[in-house]
Amino acid sequence: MTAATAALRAVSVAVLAALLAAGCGEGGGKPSGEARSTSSARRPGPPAPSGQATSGTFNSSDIGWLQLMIAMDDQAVLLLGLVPGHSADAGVVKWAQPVAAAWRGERVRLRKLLVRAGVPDTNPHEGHDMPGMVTGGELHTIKRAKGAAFDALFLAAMREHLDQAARIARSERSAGADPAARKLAAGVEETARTWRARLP
Amino acid sequence: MSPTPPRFPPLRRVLGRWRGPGVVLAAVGLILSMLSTGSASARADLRVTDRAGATSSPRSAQAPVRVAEFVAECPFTHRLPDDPIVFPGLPGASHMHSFFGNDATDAHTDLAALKRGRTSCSPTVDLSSYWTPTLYANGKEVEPTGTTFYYLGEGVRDDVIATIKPLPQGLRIVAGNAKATGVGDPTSIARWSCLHHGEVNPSKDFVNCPSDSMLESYLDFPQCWNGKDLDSPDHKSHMAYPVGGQCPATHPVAVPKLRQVLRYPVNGDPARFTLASGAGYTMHGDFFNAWPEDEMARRVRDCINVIVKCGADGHP
Repeated sequence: MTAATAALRAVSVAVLAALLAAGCGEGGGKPSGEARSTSSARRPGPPAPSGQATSGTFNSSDIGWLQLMIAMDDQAVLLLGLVPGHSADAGVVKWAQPVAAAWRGERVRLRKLLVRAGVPDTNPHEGHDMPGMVTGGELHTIKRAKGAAFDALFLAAMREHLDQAARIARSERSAGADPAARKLAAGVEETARTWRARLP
Repeated sequence: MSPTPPRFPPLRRVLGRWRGPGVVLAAVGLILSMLSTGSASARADLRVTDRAGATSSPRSAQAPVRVAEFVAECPFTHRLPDDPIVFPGLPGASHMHSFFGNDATDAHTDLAALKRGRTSCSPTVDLSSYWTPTLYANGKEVEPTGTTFYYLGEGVRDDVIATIKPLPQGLRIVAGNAKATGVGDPTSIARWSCLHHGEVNPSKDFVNCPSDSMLESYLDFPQCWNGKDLDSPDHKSHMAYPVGGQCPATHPVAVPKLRQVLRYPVNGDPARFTLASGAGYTMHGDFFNAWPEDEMARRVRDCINVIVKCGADGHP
């Protein structure tokens, strides 16, 4: 059995070598991880570790973070839009106004980076129960609440959103590759913590 | 039939694994069914078009079984809101995933980490990671108790099967569409069915299974590789499905088709079920290949290229 296994192994190695020689993959079976997008061809990014996809200067962390933040901000902006007609708390109304404006600006900056990354601006997280994201179902429930009930639900959703935004932005600062994306992540983390601290 | 070590009684294994097709062939003798249907994976009703042009019938009673196949059985290991393909380095960014196989998988997982990990798979040489959105019944997590990952030649012509190359180490594949919009959405390749109950029509969304049944999910991964990239910015475009029994010129390298078959210990009213990604038609699967190159190459040579049905040990 041992001898047979050894023989089998030897044959396997020989076959593998033959396969590789026959052109199965490039560079000894460890193909380049560089993505074949046009932006990548124009401007090669930093080498990606062990085959992670890149698009220009953007790695998969950058792209995943941009798409997720856009999806989260889209939902959060919808929620913020409900405040004037639903809230009974002047503090909440006052807090929400500049935040809504700031997030609209943040979304513009996120989308610009996504365009530069050459990734289509579609929401891959639509309908998903992403941590910290206001889901369609939650939005539907909050929409039907008024006054104090609305404010309680609104503040809970905002806390979750801001905590998650800060957490993911912090990871992106180290996991990301594109300097502008990492810089934006630093800004997102800082503003998320600031708004969180000022929540009524 | 198989040189499987005696510690795995072959009969019990076969019976345990193939309870589904066993019903289809209820009238056929036990031995015959072991020899001929072996393969839920090769069931003609699953993907009729896949075997267009194939000359052999998978239900032929002749031995050896002419099905290009080897398997890994990889039980559930853990749950995390992580996704090392879509959100690498961003722990907690994802919807909830259920992981199978490599027990070290998290947001920071790369090939080196997988190689250092341990596995729930039989065979234990398979250090790959497999994951899907978590299934919930009435908001409570349900993990599949049947977790079989088939590697198949089907989907391309027999002469193309003979040229199938091993899946390269480090390759990431995502199958299915997490943002499919409904059962009419052609981008959804989800398939839900009922174990032992073929009379319940399969659907892209959850189905209502009888009380003595289990909810099953089948998912076929793309089997044509562009020959260059282990991943792509959208995590899909480096792979493609075959067209007309062969791989398209853009993705010329035929590799084994991964078929994920999960069996969940739930049945009844499907309105109770949700996935972390939404409705049933959003079912998707992720695969990060960490098979040792020699073990993968041996199986492709001995099982796939020559169209022979192998077990977890990679032997006929």
